[in-house]
Amino acid sequence: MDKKLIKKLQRICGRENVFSRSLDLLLYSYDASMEKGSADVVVLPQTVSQIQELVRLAVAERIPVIARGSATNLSGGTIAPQGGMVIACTRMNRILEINTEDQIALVEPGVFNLDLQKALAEKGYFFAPDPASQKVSTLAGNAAMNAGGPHCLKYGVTVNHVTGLDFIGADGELYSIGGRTALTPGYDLTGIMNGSEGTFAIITRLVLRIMPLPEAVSTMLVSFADIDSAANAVSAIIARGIIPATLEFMDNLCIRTVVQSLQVDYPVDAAAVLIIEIDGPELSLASQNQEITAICRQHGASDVRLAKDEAERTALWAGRRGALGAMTRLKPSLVVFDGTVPRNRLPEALRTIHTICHELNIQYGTLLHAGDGNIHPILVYDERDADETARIRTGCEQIMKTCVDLGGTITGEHGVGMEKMAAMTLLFSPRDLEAMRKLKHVFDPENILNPGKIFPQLRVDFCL
Amino acid sequence: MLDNTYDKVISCSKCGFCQPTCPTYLVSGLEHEVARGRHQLVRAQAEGRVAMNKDIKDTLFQCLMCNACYSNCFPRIKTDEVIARARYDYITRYGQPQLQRYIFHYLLRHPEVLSRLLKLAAPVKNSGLSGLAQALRILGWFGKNLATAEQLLEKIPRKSLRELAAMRNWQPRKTRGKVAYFVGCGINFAQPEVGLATLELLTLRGFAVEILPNFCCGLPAYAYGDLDSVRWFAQQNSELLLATDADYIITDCGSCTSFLKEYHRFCDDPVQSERLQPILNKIVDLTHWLADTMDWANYKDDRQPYRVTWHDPCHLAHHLHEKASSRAVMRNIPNVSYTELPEADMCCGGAGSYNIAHSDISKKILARKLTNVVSANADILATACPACIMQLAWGVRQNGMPVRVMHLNQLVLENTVRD
Amino acid sequence: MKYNLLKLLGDLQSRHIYLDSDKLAPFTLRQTPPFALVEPDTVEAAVALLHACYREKGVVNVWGSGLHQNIGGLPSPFDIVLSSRGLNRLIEFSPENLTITAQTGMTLAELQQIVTASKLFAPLNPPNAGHATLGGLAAANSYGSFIQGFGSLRDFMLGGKAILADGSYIKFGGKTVKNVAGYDMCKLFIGSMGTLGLLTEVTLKLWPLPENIIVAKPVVKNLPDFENLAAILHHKALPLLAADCSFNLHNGDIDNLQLHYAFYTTAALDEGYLNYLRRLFPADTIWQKQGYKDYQAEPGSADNFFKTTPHDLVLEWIVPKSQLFTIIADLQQASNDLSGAIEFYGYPAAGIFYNKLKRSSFTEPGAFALALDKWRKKIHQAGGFLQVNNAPDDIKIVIEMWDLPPAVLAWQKKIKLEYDPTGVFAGGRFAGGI
Ligand SMILES: Cc1cc2nc3c(=O)[nH]c(=O)nc-3n(C[C@H](O)[C@H](O)[C@H](O)COP(=O)(O)OP(=O)(O)OC[C@H]3O[C@@H](n4cnc5c(N)ncnc54)[C@H](O)[C@@H]3O)c2cc1C
Ligand code: SF4
Ligand code: SF4
Repeated sequence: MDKKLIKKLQRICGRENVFSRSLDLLLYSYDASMEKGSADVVVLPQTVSQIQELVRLAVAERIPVIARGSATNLSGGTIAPQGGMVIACTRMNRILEINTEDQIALVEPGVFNLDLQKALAEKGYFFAPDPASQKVSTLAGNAAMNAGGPHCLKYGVTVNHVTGLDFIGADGELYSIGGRTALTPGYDLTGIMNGSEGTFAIITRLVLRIMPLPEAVSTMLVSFADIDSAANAVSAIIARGIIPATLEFMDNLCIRTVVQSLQVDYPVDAAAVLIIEIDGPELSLASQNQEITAICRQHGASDVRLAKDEAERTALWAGRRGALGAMTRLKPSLVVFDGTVPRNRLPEALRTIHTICHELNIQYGTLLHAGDGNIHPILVYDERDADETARIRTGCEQIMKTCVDLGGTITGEHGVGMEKMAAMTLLFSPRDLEAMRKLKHVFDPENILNPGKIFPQLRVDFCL
Repeated sequence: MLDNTYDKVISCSKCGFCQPTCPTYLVSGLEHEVARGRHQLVRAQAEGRVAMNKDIKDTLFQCLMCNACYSNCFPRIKTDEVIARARYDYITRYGQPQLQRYIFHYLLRHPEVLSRLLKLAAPVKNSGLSGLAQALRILGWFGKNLATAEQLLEKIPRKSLRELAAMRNWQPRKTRGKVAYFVGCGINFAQPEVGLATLELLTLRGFAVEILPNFCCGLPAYAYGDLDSVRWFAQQNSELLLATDADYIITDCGSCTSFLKEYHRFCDDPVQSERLQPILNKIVDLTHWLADTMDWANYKDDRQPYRVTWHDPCHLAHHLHEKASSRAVMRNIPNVSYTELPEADMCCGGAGSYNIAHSDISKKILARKLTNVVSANADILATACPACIMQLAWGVRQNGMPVRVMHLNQLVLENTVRD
Repeated sequence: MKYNLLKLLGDLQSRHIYLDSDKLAPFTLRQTPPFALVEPDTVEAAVALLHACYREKGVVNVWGSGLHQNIGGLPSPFDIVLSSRGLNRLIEFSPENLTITAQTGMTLAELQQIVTASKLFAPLNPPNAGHATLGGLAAANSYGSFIQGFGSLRDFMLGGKAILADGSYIKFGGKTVKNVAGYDMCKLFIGSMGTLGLLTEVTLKLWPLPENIIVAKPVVKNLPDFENLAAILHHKALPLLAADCSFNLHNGDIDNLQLHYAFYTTAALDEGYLNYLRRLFPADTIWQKQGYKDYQAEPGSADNFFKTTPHDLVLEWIVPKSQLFTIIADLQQASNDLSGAIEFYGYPAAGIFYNKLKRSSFTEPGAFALALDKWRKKIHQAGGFLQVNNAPDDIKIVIEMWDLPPAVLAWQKKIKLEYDPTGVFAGGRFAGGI
């Protein structure tokens, strides 16, 4: 990158916060997805006004800007396919305010989700979105991806819990939208900004809705001898009018892997388990537990185990939260597929995925946010094996197609990024995409912010 | 790459889960300073995707090797192993700094020389004159880090632990068994009082002590990637370990304990390695032993309890996964009221001599630790590693904090009834 | 008569074009009836209409039930009323998936009837909205007291279809709760007041119908009592369905303070819940247990409050929850400026309140404009917003009905310009004259 430009960046952020050696760029050329691409410079601003100046400079010089949190996204959201400047918000990680009277928290973009949860728990509160990556993903990353998590079944996804945002727009101005109230007048800019994957603006501050912790929580692990029964039990529970806080599914391979790597006490011979959690006032749990147990038994559950105390609960969750990572034990690389189907189509979806992977000789395990119909088949492979990698890509495409055919979508919570750009056409017509592109055009007419994402074909109107 | 390091780094799924555990990341927010970045660098190097130049030095050498990342890492990559190997490759290519060569190839292999030099240095240092390094004749090599090094070492004991220990007979009145005591360098040269407390406790609880005439465990050389020296130390010490007939082999330095237990990794001879295995299982950290023998303790119960908190040395917490013992020991002492330190198992930034080599980043890590110590509001900050003690005590001194930093065994001894 | 409009309508060749004045009369706004009423019963017909309008520079005003036509500023002129009532089919109801997809001309009552038959419900209860269309509700992001338990359409509209100004028929979102494929276009259309496109279809997430409702009517004499109770409930995670509060303010005095909380429960649990809730509420609270149906059938105070005449002004304000009582106290003082009574109605658990006052409470529009400014300032300081939902035309002329920070307004205009550059969808009523 141009030396003069680097100088300017250094003047904005300080020498020690600007990185452009080939080593630096290598280290910022990946995220948790399969994608790769190298930026031209990486900056770590510490203040909002620094971000503002960076964006202004980028606009003037027509350099792409890629916002970055912890880079744990699984879709290539923080990759710089067209080069440019990565703005990493990792040094802006203060919780600015927790206000239980207004039931909001005010945070900088780089705060880890779990750090906020811990601070809130001390005050008897929580922030509902709890992606499995909550230990490490940042709140701006969560908002930009509209992240989901197990508890979204009952409480909704990230967008339902963000009431306001500050951001630097592609014009280099600082804007404040939404606020501390449940609703704000006008078009729902805050809503639109969630899930925009860094293509509209750089988020510099978030106002989050927080909720009082439920009085009591109860978690159970239910084992099934076959996958269909487990999937049917999911539908039956919902049909009975019970919306648990979570309704998670793991198949046998996931169970075995997680047992091996984390020494958790899961039934290794079960074809599938459901992790069902309910919460609410203490008195409401027992009868709901009974009812859920009865439904599961009717659907052939072989074992229902209720966590007796907090330690057992934590242990149950450790298994679920660790499942994705544990799969890396099988082979060095993995891709997590993230489609969603209407709940009632789950059994069908699982059968088709099985057929696809079987035919392509792909090893995979399945995790589901079953209550939401969000399926995470985890396909493991070795990146160094070109043939296997190609089969994985084919498999992913076919699975995405299956989800769309069943009335679902190609991504439930991980975002489109680069990985699913092409698949957007499975779901959307050119007109639908054009309507989305209009929105992009409103926020970022020059296509400066995170270019080369979301939309199927690269726009050619941008060149360095 | 010769060993299986490549297989290890290739299993890094880039999930990024190491970020919130990694002290260097938490203070820098940089991909260079986290396990994911380090593994990707080592991998890129192996695949020839990055130019081998000195730019990579910081990423490789600023790792604390604390292995805190291991706890969040699904494929369970032991970062210290990857880093040690990468550092080995680095110094093989760019040469080992003079100071390190001198220390690992000469001083530590000739402890009697080191001992003599320190004796010369002691009066100078303790009288406040800036003459320590001069006495060691290595002034130039320390460069700008000299000041930090000087501050860290409050004073140099006039006698080493080995000398002090030799003045007494370590036989208990009633013998329950025999232990071999492995003398760590930090304890021997800088904190002999800790070693004496260990010896006293061992005898008080009925164990005959054999003081091993060991060399440095080799961890410092390992930390600088001098794997050849590591082999030498491991070889020498293994002979001693194999020779002893003690029931346990005990050290009071968590780092030594965990490193000794890994000696089989540095043994090229499969037969020797086989022989070593059962011996390595006899190595027990003092904290663990204190917990195991808790029932034989006779504690005082004579004062308003001190408020005590605990810093987990990385080698105990993240290498040996031993966190329960120390807490059990402290909770069992009537004079102690225990409070958990926030982020207790996060590195203090000491990390052997990391605080000297990378004093800037080390200071930031220490600051985070001290902030937590303040919030724990304790009278005593206990731990079980001489490097941690040195680092923490320095921080406490510098900031005038009303906290006593001590080794767990000193706390235990202080509260033990000695008939 | 505009030639372009005749050409436009001629091209359509649709059966559903009405030009006779008695048909058009009900759609009169600002004393002017539209040129034509078009009520397409197929999407294709609607596409054709909008496409023609785009080409021939016709302006349409989308009309559902008409419930919200008086909301907001003075409408700018329009040629054609596009009634969505013809597009009222059920597309798919999937009880197992807890979703329903319907065309937007369907009324809320029709939808609720379909889903309650399967023991489900859409937690949407704007006052007097039984006959409101889904499209109108989404466009205005209408809500009622259930917002406190379940959020607004923003939280449970999953997807839909719309026809944009240029006649392009698009779909967005989907039928699943989790969906991050591309931008969340639902959010764009919800609350856009029909200024960006014609919503033709929506998919809503449904909830199990509450088996039983426990209603609590605490007897509170004054605001401090109410504030104490609210504080007790505030930090608790309760199965709240709805809460509302109403009172009158006259010469600075508060009277007729009524509170009403509803919690959802199941037959198995309601005794337990009742005991649990009793401990939180004042001893003399009146308790009632109802099935959902009876609960819904009971005439609500909201319906009365929102039955307005053209002489009423309705203000809506939202403040951060901690500020609620401070603001009420401020308004209490401010009410001295006016001669008549102010009625209060609100959703305390969401920090949302409405005020109704009569046009006769002040002599000339300027007096109200001044008072409004004063209140707005207070509410802004508290971090909230105050908008005027209904007002007589003479007031509408002198005040800003909506309450948007300038920066937000600027974005808003950009969005409108991008999606509807030629102004096919009638404007005026929305913020900034959009
Ligand atoms: C093991 C594992 C489990 C996971 N589990 C879940 C899960 O359960 N649910 C889920 O939803 N996701 C999950 N994810 C994916 C990922 O954690 C989420 O997408 C998360 O929200 C990303 O946060 P981040 O801080 O890492 O953001 P990044 O990956 O750094 O960035 C994500 C996107 O946000 C944009 N962005 C970042 N910061 C800003 C900003 N300040 N302003 C504007 N845009 C910004 C980036 O440009 C990028 O497009 C998982 C990932 C892993 C590795
Ligand atoms: S060993 Fe410690 S410093 Fe090194 S990467 Fe792991 S956590 Fe970070
Ligand atoms: S936690 Fe382990 S696998 Fe994940 S990025 Fe860090 S080192 Fe790699």
